[in-house]
Amino acid sequence: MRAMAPPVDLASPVRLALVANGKPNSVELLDALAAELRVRVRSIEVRRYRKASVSIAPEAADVREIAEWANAVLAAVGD
Amino acid sequence: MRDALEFEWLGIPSVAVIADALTGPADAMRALSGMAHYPYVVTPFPVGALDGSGVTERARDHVDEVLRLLSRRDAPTPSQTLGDTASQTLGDTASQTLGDTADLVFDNDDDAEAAFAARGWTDGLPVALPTPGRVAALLARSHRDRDEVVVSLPTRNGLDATVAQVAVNAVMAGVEPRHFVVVLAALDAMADEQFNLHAHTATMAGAQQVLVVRGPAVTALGFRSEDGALGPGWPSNNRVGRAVRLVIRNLLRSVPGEFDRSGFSHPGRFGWCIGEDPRTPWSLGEPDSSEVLAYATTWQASIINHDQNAEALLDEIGLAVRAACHTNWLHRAVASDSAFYVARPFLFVTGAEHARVLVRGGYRDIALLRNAIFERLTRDDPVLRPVAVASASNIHFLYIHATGMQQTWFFAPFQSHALVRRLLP
Repeated sequence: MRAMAPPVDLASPVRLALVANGKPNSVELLDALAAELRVRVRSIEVRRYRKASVSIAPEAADVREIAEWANAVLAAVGD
Repeated sequence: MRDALEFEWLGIPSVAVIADALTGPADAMRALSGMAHYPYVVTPFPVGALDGSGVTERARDHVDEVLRLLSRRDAPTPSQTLGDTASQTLGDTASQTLGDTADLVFDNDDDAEAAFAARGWTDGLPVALPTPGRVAALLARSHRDRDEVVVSLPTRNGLDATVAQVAVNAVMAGVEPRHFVVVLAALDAMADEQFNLHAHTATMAGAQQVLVVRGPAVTALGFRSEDGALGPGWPSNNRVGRAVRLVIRNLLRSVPGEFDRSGFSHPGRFGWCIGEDPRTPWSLGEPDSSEVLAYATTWQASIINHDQNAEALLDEIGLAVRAACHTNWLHRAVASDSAFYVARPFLFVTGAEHARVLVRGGYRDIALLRNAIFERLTRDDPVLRPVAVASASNIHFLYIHATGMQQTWFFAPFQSHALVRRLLP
């Protein structure tokens, strides 16, 4: 079994990476969720990423950037 | 799901949004990834059909759950709890699947049937008994290490297929020893990441994996390429095709409740292997080499047309395929935004009568034929959208010497894959 990552402290600045998998409405749903999160989270910065295809992994450069910058990831959509 | 898991392993709390129609494969994936309790947000299917206000409403429905999953990482959700039973079952199955192949050979039908049922194996039809002698006879023809991994899918970590395990499944399908190299070559092709095997053995579209054997091996190994070549009754075709599908089902766990989420499925999923007839005017490869090609298809369209004029026949083929692609989400408005778009293959299977008309009409040159079809699939039209085919070179013609009926079949591609070929030894 693998352990889950530690929780996000919502009282501290949140750096959220949106990872869209390329399915129809994946970008739109993530943007809409980000808009709702901005209302609820005191300090949140968002960066958007989009895979070239739902069937492949994210670009290595994107993974590196997310690993260095983000403290939370939201991925969509399995559809 | 896999993307979120990857970031979770990097230590970044991550949440995936998954449609309720896909919780089965999602649960299977998290179990095999060693995170059977990994929670995710479940949303009603389909998201892709929502309009702008529907997307906004869906976000409002889920935002609190997203926050909860990011900030509280201990409380199971209803979907998580429901997933645990399935995950445990899958974990057991995977463990058994990976066991030594000594556990997979039998000397009586009752033991074999009980063991296969316990593993969730077979395709519903009777199988040949994988006795030690039969398995050894196949392995002797492979000249490969029995423990060599033939197929391993990153999205199904822990699930792979070794040469010996493939041999067991090939025996079950009735494969003769001389055909085992074809099975292995087909799986080698399918293991290529450009073939994208995970996607089209999991998709709701219920895609089928089609093998084409071509070159001198068609005649030498008895593959059917004449009347009836797409159907039953041909041991070489049917058993090789079935062996590959048994590997996909038994070893890679593309079965309902695990990684197969097809709605309708398809009889082609019992196995589909076709020989290219040596009389082809447009061969899929070099004449002196034997190879197997792997292609993934989601549906087929038949064009029966008795026109003797090549241009008129091409117009009818183009119209039929274009209309079918328009209504099946295979047009450029929805299906050209993918890394696989430039490689996406389009396969036409043409019988003797249509081939005769086309060759007589000046289309012996495959480049001319490809261009003629491409133009008809993509030119301006007041009703039908352009087909999502990137270029004329993506169009392929498989000739079978099917006589009588003037017929061509279009095999619609699974959108995210490339045609992959492997030479036969």
